[in-house]
Amino acid sequence: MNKIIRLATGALLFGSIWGFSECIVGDYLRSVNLPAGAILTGIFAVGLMGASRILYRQPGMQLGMGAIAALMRAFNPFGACILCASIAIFAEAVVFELIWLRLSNDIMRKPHISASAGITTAYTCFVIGCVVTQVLTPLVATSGFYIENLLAFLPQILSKGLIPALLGGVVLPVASILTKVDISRIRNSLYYPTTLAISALLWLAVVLA
Amino acid sequence: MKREKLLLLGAVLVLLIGMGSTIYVHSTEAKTDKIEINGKAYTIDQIFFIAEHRTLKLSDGNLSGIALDDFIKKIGIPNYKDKKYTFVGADGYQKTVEWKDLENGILLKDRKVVFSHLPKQYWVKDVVKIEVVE
Repeated sequence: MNKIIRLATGALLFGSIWGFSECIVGDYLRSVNLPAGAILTGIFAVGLMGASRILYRQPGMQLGMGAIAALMRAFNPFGACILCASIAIFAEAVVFELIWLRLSNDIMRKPHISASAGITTAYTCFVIGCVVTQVLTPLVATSGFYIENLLAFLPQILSKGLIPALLGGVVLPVASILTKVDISRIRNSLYYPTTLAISALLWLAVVLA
Repeated sequence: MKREKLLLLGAVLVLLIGMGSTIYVHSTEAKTDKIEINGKAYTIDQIFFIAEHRTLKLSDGNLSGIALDDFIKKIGIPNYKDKKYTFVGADGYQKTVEWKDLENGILLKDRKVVFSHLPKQYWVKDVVKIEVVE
């Protein structure tokens, strides 16, 4: 029972950091004309999901993180398309879970393997996240989905995935340092107040922003 | 060992796809300052002269441009209410909307189309062509 609660609070913390970065950092990146979607996926999404998987070693946790981050994005009414962003965040979490289904911490200790995993994960998350939002957003917005629009945009999506891929190739080897950390050794009296307080602060910042 | 090889192969493959697509996108990008509709090309100044102006109230401020529905009416598209309209950007990005969407849409001076009631995914920048779809 304690393990499940620890995982849930871990997902809350990492999901909140991800959601916060999507809302606050994302809006800043857009305001200075940087490719926000690519940077958010390559650094924050893949970095946080990879770090939490390495730390907690629990498949399925990143899906919870994605749900929390998507929910937080929906609470922040400013910036780019809210609906598209929320859908993309959750789609990225689903893709991450599928790719990492058979990946273990052992192979992440090799830098060239963690870099390869970072490149593949970031690229696939970004591309599929974009495709999913291109399909689902028109349906939710009741304006109709046209396959020819998606096909015309596909080369651009595949091209834009290059930036998150390169970022993911750097971020995941950095996150793989965490393979040496044993999160279960942190005392409950420190773990719960810290994770819950940080999560609450991040939510407060996003709601008030 | 097999898994490691697959990861390496996957990384090389996605990088090649990304680079190939980047070359393709840049080589096919349209370079024009006109907007083509129904076989005729208009400059942005001509369009702003033809159609009436409209201001959209958005959550993050107001935007002003020309009313898309008025522009379509004035250039003489037959049965314009029954048609769909595909806005194509210079980079190939395109979005198809219905007539009712044009009634809440504007074209900005920088050739970007904005719809107040649709997600920003529908905002096409650097429009080079408006296709009238039956």
